[in-house]
Amino acid sequence: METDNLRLSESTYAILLAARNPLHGYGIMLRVKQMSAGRIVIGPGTMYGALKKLIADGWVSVESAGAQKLYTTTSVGLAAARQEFERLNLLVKMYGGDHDA
Amino acid sequence: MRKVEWRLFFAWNEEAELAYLEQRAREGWLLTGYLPLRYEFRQAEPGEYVYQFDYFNGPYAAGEERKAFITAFGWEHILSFAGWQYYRARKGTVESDELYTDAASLQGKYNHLLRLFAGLAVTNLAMAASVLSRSSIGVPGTINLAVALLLTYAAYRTWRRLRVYRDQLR
Repeated sequence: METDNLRLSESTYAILLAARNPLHGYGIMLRVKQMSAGRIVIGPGTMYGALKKLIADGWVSVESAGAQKLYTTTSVGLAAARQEFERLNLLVKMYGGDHDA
Repeated sequence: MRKVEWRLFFAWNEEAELAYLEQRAREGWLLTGYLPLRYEFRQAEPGEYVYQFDYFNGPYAAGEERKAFITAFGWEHILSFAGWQYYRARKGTVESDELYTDAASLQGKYNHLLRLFAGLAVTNLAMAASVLSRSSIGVPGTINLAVALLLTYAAYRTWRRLRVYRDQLR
């Protein structure tokens, strides 16, 4: 999937960041909750669908570890998250009025 | 101890069914089985529980994988009926009381249901038309027509719900 001019949903952005280290689905949810100071809690239905799509797009890879599956953000996924970070950063700067574009 | 209750809930108003099941749990009755209109409960310690529905109608292995993923979050899978998956958790033991927590994934869930209701409505309408083309509509044709109307209404209510999620994504 192309990453140019893409807006990520809050859940997708959070999952990509949380899975920078290999984690199972429940672990990703806990990591997202921790990173967002408890504000973002992703339900299992949402997480399952999001991971399926991210794997299909090549943004997350999956490997089996016993009965569990471990998910890791790929370099393409990291690039998409970085692009979203820059977009959000620009929006924050605009609010403060210190953007010189 | 077990008991059976008969109730009618429509697919477009799942909140009413969830509230009914959660109220029964408060009274010490946990759902164990479902057949159309028929709810079976077992007696348990009264408590605060949350129920949630998922919809999945696909290959067995994919369904099992999805179920295992959701139960790893602390949910108990109670039963499957015609693609509907019933889940339950004691309140406070799961991080989120909902399986779907953002507008995009809710849109995915209800888009799927909209296609299902619309498809079944068209099928029933075609069956009614087929009966009518051969003879007077009769009982089978009337049933097909009634089911088609009900499903059309279900599709309409699902479409209205989808519009809310669509607006949230703007």
